[in-house]
Amino acid sequence: MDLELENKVVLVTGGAKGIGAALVRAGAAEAAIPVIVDRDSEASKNLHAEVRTSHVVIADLSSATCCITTTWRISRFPI
Amino acid sequence: MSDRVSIESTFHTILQQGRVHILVNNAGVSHIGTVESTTEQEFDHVFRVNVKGYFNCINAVIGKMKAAGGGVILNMASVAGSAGLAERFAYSTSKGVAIAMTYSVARDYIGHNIRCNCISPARVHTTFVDDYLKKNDHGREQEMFEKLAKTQPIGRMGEPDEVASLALFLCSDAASFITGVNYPLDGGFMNLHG
Repeated sequence: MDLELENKVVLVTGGAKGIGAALVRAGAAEAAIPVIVDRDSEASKNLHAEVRTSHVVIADLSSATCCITTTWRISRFPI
Repeated sequence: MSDRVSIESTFHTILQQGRVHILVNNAGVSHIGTVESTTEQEFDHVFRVNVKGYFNCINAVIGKMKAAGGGVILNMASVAGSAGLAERFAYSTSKGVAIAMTYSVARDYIGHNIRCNCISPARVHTTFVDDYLKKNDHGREQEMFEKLAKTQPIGRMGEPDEVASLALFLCSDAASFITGVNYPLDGGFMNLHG
């Protein structure tokens, strides 16, 4: 099914396992650009090895400080 | 190459790609307990991840979505946010907040071409379920798995792919008229009885 998600950047928190990982795989199959945001670096790396078009940001989103780090990184996306 | 360099390098690649079009708030933790058995620390932890985590991420991207002319936010809620499930006090409460957060964001940013919806899955077969059964029902995993699966009218747990299908649809322009909606994805759990 073509959902016209080609080149859309999709941030998936908790994206390394379970439902999040399924979404990363499905998004990649639709030619979107999945960004795995997860605290589990091992699972994130493994999924990235499987879904080569994905990107990885390791962050613990329960911490405001960590989220600020993530925000800082995201804010540098050219818009 | 160390992990850190690898991550930084990967992120550098992301920076070349452009804006954040879609945010899926999916990271969460579960918790079992009643209002009496839940400690303040446990309650705070569930809320830090399931509520503040969602807030932090929406807060981080919404300005950029506005500036870019639109975007899509999808929150992973749960049937526990709308129904009274046994011993899910902190978890249910946090998911009820996720649903309310969805409505609030959808309302406030409808004029900015930002859609916000949520999905409320019932039991989905993930490694979390397997690990839980291994830990709490060692030796009876299969029996307990089937018991849990049969509590859903459809007679089985959902699969992660089935949640991903709906999620991707809601994130796409095929769902361009859909905002401020909570979608139960539950094998009939909420509406089918008897």
